[in-house]
Amino acid sequence: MLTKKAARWIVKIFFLLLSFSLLMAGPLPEWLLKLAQPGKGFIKEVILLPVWLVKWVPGISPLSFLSSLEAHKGERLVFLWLFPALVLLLIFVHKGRFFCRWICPLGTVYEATCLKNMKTHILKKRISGYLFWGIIFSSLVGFPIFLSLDPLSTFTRANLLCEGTITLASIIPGLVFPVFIILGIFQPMIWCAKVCPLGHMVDFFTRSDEKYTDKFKRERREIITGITLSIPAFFLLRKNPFASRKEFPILPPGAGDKETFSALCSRCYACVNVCPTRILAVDFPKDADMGRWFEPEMNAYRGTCQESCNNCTQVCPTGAIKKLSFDDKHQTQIGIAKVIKEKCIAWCEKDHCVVCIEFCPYLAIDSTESVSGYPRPVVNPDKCRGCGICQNACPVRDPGAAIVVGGVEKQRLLNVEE
Amino acid sequence: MKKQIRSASGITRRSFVKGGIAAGVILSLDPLKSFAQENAGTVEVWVITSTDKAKMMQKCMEIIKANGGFGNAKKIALKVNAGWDRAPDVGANTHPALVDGFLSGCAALGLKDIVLPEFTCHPANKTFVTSGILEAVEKNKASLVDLGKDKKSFEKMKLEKGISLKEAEVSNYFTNPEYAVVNMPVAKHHGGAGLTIAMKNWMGAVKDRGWWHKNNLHQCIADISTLLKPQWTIIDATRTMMDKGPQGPGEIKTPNMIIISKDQVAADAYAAKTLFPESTASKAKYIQMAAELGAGIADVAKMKVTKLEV
Repeated sequence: MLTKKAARWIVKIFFLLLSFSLLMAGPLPEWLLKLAQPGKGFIKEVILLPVWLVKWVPGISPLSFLSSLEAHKGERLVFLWLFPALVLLLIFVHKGRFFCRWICPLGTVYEATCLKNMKTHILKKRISGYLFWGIIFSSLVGFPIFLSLDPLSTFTRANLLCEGTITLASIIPGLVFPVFIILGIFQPMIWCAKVCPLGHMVDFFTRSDEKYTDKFKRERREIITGITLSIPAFFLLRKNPFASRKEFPILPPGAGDKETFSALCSRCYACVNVCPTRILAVDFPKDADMGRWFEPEMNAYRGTCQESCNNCTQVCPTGAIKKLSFDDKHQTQIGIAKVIKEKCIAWCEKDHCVVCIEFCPYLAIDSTESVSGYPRPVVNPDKCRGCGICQNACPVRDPGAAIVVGGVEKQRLLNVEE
Repeated sequence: MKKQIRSASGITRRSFVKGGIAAGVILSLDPLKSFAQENAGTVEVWVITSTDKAKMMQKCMEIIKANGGFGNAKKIALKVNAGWDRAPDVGANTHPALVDGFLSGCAALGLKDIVLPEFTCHPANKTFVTSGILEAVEKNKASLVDLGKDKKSFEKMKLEKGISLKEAEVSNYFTNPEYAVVNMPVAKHHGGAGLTIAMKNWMGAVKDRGWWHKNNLHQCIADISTLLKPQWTIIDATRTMMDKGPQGPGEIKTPNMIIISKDQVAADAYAAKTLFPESTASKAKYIQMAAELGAGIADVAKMKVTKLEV
């Protein structure tokens, strides 16, 4: 006879493997392909599962659903992809912690790793309530400070290791997962019992004899802390008056503007993991507004935003990156390139160089001729999409390129005919 | 037809074999030594016109076979132009049907070990697929090498005759004496260099092409032609991008030609003169510069041109 415990483990491991394979959707990581086909040569991109499946791991969390609902002010309510999160919410109401015990992939890992533990109590107090209400209220003011603690977002983030997209800045939010594995050895299930904000949401919504009004009364302390946390989130953290970096970041296509993006991004890094050129990575601009900390941004020295790719727009669980069709992505301006004339080989008349003009896939760089016959690049801001290939290919590095892409205040759809 | 080719070549198979053995030792030290140099003044250029790319390549392989083939080499390093994420009809990359024709022709000659190293401009994962080159390569079981990722294959080489470029890190497939080197570029307009045909195609075989732009690009292109000397140059002029090069889309003309020579300078000079207007062709200064370095012949009057139609 299959005991209930054994059945639970089989189901849990099934969901763990399922969510892991969903995260691996889209182009498979290169090291894996190299293992599969050793030897020299070019390795073709292999896509076993369509890339949009990645979204279904962080996207089913009702917590990030609720948070993004607030930040969107309900305007994207019609999206069909919210449906699974609602189903999960219903499960919460009727079945309580069923999700945690049978489905949650993060819970499975934590439960498996603390089978042998020291049974100590390093964290006696439950802090999950404070985190939960902190997320709810800070989402309302547009900067969900602790949303990255959502367990499904945390699990998605672990994939950075697998895809080899880890950067220095992504280590800090990426540490949540391993740190609680270690803490779990001291105090079993410390994450699930004491910290997980989604777990608190489950407890709060589970139907019981206690009325919901009574629940609010009982949790007044947590709620007040949540409101208190949202005040600095609104005044200090979101718009850091001490930030010296004033220029706009280059955000993935479909992100809209800086404020909306940082209000919605749950730092799950699904977009980073599906970016084929690695232009999208986690940054830590410490001199910028805190809203930008640890969010995925583009840096054209790492790669270029490929003309025929809209991977990142397909995987965002919170809608921080809106889904764009190929045509819309092709016409979206995420930045504008600018020639730094003092550095440019052609403008300084040092040599005949029009590499940026050659590389621009959108024919957005024109040339003017100097008196002595040197063609010099001039960017057409109504055609430039900000893909960064000019900056990436520019032969000047002293240390920066002579043509650099800067972010735009608000991304817009261009209407260039080709 | 066959007779005509043989007499046009000027080298019989026998004399080639004799010469080949005699030059064997020298060749093994410097396998890329130009054949054109040995026959200065009698450089040969073949032009094949057709709308059928498979037939064209069949003829091309006949010409190669009748004129010494690939020497003693058992392996081939083929440099195509597959730099851009553009479909074949834009004319930014070598046409995949020609690559297919070449690879299957080599297989018929018993040469099965063929590598195609390429340092792409757009990301390789898209470029090789969109250009159709990957499909042609997989069909013939050759192997593509993405030099953008495979940095280990670069080797520092000295260019003794180089004026601007004294040293370059070149993909060692093209310097390894085990490989017969074949250059198979597409002829097209180029914003920076005027034209890009055969010699300019070598920029996709070096590690730091950015340096060239800062240090007299045309001279660097001419310099590299003293180091990288393919046994055969086959220029794809089935369709040519006349402006907005190197990636287009621009104006397209369809000369339906391929141009074959052992001398890449002659191939470049002939293609520039016949395919493009004088105003564009004169911008490709590197052709004359290469001739001045003794890398080949740029004077079309000194070429023995054989025109064939299939």
